[in-house]
Amino acid sequence: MKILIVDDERDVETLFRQKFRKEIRSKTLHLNFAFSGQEALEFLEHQEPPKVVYVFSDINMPGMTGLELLERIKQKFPKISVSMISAYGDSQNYNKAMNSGAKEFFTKPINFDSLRKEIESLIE
Amino acid sequence: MKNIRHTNTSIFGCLLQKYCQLIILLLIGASGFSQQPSAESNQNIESMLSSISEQLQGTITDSIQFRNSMFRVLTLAKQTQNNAQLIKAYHNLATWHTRNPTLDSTIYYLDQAEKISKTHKLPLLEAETFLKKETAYKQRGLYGKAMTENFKALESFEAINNQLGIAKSYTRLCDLLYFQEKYAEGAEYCQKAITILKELNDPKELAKSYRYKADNLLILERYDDALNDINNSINLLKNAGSGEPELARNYNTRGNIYKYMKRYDDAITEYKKCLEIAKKHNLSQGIIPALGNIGHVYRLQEKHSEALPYTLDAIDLMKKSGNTPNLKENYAHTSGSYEALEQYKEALKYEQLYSEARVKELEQIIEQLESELQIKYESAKKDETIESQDATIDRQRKTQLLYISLAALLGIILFGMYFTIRNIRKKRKALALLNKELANKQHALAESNNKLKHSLNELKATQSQLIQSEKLASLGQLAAGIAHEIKNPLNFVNNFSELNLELIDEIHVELEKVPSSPEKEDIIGLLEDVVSNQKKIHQHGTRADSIVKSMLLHSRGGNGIKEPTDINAMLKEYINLSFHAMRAGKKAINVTLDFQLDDTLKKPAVIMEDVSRVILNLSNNAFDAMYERIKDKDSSENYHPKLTVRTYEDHQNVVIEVEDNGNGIPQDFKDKILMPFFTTKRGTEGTGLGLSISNDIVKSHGGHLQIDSKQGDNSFTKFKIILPI
Repeated sequence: MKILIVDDERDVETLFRQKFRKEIRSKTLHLNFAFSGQEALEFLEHQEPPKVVYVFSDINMPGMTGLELLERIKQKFPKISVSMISAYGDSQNYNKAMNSGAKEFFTKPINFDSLRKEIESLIE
Repeated sequence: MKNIRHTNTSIFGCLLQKYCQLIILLLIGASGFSQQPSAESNQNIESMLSSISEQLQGTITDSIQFRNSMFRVLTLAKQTQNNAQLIKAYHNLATWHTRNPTLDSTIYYLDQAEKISKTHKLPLLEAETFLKKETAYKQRGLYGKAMTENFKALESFEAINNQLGIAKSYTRLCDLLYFQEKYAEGAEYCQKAITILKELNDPKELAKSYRYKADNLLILERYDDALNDINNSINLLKNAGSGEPELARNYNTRGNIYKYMKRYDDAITEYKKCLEIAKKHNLSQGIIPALGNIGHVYRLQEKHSEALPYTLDAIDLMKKSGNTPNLKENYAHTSGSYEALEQYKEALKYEQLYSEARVKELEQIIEQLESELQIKYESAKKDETIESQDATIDRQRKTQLLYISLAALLGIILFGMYFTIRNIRKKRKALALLNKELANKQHALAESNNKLKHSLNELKATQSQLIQSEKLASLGQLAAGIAHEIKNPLNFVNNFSELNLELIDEIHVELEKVPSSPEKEDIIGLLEDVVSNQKKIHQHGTRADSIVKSMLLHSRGGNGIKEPTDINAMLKEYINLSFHAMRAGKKAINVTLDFQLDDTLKKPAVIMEDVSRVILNLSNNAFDAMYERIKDKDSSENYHPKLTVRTYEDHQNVVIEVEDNGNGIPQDFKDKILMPFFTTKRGTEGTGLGLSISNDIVKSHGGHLQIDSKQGDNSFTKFKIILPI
């Protein structure tokens, strides 16, 4: 399964790759990273099969915010699931994300156990 | 009402009086010697007479020469025994003397003229003499006598069927009736005059009739008719090319009419025309009423600041010219204007001047009465000596009469004095009242000043409070921003340290596959150290994270809404919540909860979520403190942890007490305990922000947090939250 993680912090890639190293090694999970909303959209438009089925995006990013990205993805690729990961767990952001069609809302610091469960539920 | 007319009081004054007397004496003396030849013809005298009467209408520049020529004509007329001319000469002299208000020369000369006209049967001149006498009496305010003369004139004119004369008599009768306040009758006579004059070609006389009629109609409140008549008069005068001074009188009347019609702007236009003409011709008796009237109209319009310069000018001119009859009205207007402009000091000054003027007026009346009495007494005495040979009875009767009149006059004087004194007293009372009013106003001002000062102080306090909370808010925002920025890297620290521990575990798994050797043992030993270091990194990272979380809570802006809250219910709920959390946690102890709540407690308006956090903080601290004491206690000690929660009302405040029987707080810490980041809790347990946040929350409710604590035997710590209702 191919998922895309969007965050302006580049260390997120290292963190995710190490956290999901077993799944990557067993090739049950294929991780892609984008460091801005724009990059994420471009990636989704020009990707080759197998296609991304799940996007995890940060909210607070320079340029396009995660919430904007969420709306754009939902417009263009309604089949792709999108979840938000944010340090700002306030109800305003939460409500906006959920109303725009986000699947889940994870708060930072990331609880990788719940994230892993979410991904596993998709693999099955 | 009378003062709206031009006041025809002479401004020549007393100087002229004495001067005239001197000249009369000189001329009487001189006439004995000067036997002028009668070469000059009748015609010459006639032309001189008309030239003199013409000059009398205007302003006389050289009064000595003018008098000389008048007396020359008189002498000539006497010599030529032309009675008509003699009468006219007397008329001229009489007219000349009308400018002198007190000396009765006018009447003397007119008596001479009347005698001559009677003896020589000249009815027209006799009638004209009567009219002149009427004018003279009217000027002196002797309206009864004037009336008699007027009727005599009318009778004479009727006898010779002189229509112009009859009309003139009617017109003057109208004026006389005005002064006797018989306005309707007056208007009727003027109308009769107008009917006659319309047939005759004398526009000036017709205009006068119109003007007098307008004056009377004005008082009768027939404004439209009055306005019509005065417009007729003005048109007639303009067509006849009459002089501006005569027109000015008409403008004055028209101004009066407009004033009563409440067409104030029009009235001011008229009065200003008068003022302009009067200034141009230097007629002080025109300038003063115009100024006064303009001032009065502005007052009626409540344009007090515009009225002031006019009334003040009027006062100034009146004082300079000595023409003072309307002075006190202008004082009253000035005082009124100043009062309306709230310049009470000036208002009071003019009010005083008004009162003084009133008093002076009354004093003058008394003086006049006294001097008249003196004159009468002296003349009576003179008569006595001259007619000493007269019968004694007659003399006695005269003296009796004199005494009676003296007594009567004295009575009048006493009466006048009594009224003056009463009036002065009244004025004094009014002044005292005014003073008192001023004092009251001052007092009220001082009071409102105090109030203002008080509210200013309050405002300043609020302002500083606002600035303080604004500072705190911006500091809070800054802290929130920093906290967020720190949180991200902190997350990486924690996440990567966790990862490292996982990776080391995997290394251990891999190492199992390697055959054992001293090097392998070394590697395992080093890895143990790395694991312990990683754990420390993770521990301190987590600690930093919880501090950051608290800071975020701390700076969470106060967007909550204050609502009346049942404090007792809230206390029960949150203390129990805290208790169960404690029981479920690592530091579980047995604690007795003792609620001593005032059931009648009022509901203060508070932000529920904030105050509940304070309660949680305080009870958590209390449980921690009691846990510490259990940990420290000797086995011999019999200690029962107890948390007491009280509520009660005290001086419009709601007081919440949270008391534990833990170890108590050292005296040194009491001042520091509310400071941010101060904590007595060991190691990583406390952030040092709980009480600081609690204190801020209580303060933001306008209340305060008090600490009472004791160490040693029966130690306790008591936090008191005092909230205003």
